Amino acid sequence: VIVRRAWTLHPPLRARVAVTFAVLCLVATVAVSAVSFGLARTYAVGQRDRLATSEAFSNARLVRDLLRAGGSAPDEVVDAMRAAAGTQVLLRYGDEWYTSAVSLSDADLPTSVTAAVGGGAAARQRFDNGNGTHLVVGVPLPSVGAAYYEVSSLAELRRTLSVLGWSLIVASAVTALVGAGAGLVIGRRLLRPLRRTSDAAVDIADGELDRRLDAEGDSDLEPLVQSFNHMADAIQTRIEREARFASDVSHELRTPLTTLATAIEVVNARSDEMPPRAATAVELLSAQVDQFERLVLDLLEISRLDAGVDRVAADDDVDLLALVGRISRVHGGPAVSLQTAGPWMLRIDERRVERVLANLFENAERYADGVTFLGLGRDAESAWIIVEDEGPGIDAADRDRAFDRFWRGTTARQRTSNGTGLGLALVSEHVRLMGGEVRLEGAASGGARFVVELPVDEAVQ
Amino acid sequence: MATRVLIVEDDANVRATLRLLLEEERYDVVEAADGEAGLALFETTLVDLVLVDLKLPGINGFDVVRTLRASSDIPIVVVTAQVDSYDMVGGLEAGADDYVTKPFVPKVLTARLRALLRRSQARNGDTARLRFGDLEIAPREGLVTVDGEPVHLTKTEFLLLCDLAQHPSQVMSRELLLERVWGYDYPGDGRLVDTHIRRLRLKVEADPEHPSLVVTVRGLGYKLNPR
Repeated sequence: VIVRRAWTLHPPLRARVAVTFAVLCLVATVAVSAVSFGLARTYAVGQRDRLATSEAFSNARLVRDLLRAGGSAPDEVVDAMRAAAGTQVLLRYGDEWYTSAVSLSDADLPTSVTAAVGGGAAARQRFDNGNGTHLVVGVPLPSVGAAYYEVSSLAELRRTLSVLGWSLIVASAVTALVGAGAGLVIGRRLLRPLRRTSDAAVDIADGELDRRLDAEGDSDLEPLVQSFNHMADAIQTRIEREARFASDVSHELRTPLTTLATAIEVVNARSDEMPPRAATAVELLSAQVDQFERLVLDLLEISRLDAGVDRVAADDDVDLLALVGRISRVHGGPAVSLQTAGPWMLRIDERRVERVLANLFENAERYADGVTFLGLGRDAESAWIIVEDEGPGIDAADRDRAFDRFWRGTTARQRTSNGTGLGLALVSEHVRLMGGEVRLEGAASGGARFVVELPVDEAVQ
Repeated sequence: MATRVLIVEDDANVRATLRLLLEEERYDVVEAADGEAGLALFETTLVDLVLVDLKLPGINGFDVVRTLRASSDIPIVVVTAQVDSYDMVGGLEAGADDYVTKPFVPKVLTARLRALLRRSQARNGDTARLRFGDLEIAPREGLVTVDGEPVHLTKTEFLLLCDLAQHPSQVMSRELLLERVWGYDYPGDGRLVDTHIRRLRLKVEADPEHPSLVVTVRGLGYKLNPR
């Protein structure tokens, strides 16, 4: 919901860049087009007017000469001029009007023109006779008592201008589209370093601590790259230092612990020669050292996982069914119940699966009375192992926390057990490193039900 | 005469408690604080088994194992610090027969030593000579020849080969081999078998990279191919 609202308030950067580009391109081309159209129109119309005028004058002179020579009747003159000028022609000779077209009469001419020409001045005007725009040029011929008019249609010119206008509109639209496209491309280019940064951040969060950004070769972006890499260095140093510390502590505990355990073993072997109180003390000591030893081993294992020194070693094909069955036998667990058909020959990290299941079995032995159901299934993407017990289970509210380190349950048995508190944390870490997922659910019996889901990489046959 | 164990371990406390533990088990113990001393002691004293910590000052444990292995078939157990690192495989590749991780459970350590010693004292296999192409095994004499040339195998490698050879074409799982060759009666690490198979191949295969005799059966284990 939040994401969608953010979108409507602030469209993504790329869309904004594209829209900005489109609008800018549109405005620029519309402005250029409008100016060019205006100039072209003024020029074409002016040109047309001048041409019509000069032709009308020269044709008028010809009419005057013909009439003065008296060799031709006025209607013959009109026809001759119609043929020569390529326009419609009107001639007033005395009070008579002669026209080259039936559809054209003196009544069609604007009165301002006929009045001006009647007054002895040449006149030119555009008018609309209901049949398109026309241009009329009137030339008085006082020497022969006549007036000569040429009427030409401007439809052609208008058509030309309209084609030009449409071309410019289409060109503007195309430019705007190209602008939007360019905006998208540029936006993507602009965002590429950002996406690389975000990819790198995701990789680091996924545990690839030595991931860094390559130099961009762009002085604007270099600070981003540098500060990101600097941050990554700092994080890596810190995480590695902490992991090393945990590992070093466990490591240093190892030698004294070995001595302690061995010495106690020697003493313990002679506990029957001791007074009962001493024997009890040795027994307590022995149990605690045992617990301590397991704790250090678990700590070592988990700190190694944290430090990322253990890479997933899934380079062997493993029969998962046989593996699960074997581990169950070792721990005195039930037979494997198949929930789907195989094949079970899969490319998985055998030792990790073994560690995961061993911890789940130990967990069930410690907090319930051992594993009561062991299921195995798979589909195209994953294989899953189900481990159930019939113990008290874990409340739904606590199930996520059950995988936390040193989390202890709420029941007395959970609180007083001699577990290390790291077993389920180890399970979750190993499963995560294999790219899988482990869930804790409630079994039908009320006990705990662990589902370990692992991505399937079919064995190469 | 009691079985004698040589301990090469730099930490005096660990050494002292190991001595206590092993003497409880009625072993005779000699100890060395570093690799040089250990090798020198090995030259002058008759011992039945060597326990070497891989992390040693001076020449490290790997080199000690390599040097010992160059001249002797003696059972060698390495003590590795990490449960899960290259150390264990490295130690086995140098020639050790078995390993324990630190901190070790005393009972596990003594059980492994017992298994190794029992094995090296017993005369295993009363079967007649076995022949697979140009490989010939004489279990009774402990002799292996390839193309008539004698091949020198360690005890572990020899037992591994014999076990595979006595069940030709039959797939032997890592667990089964651990049980039969190393005497494990609890789950062990399959890499122990893998490393020894690798070393064995180097000695008996014409092309160890592409084994034709001791072959891997994916996901199941190993078998010996009668050619």
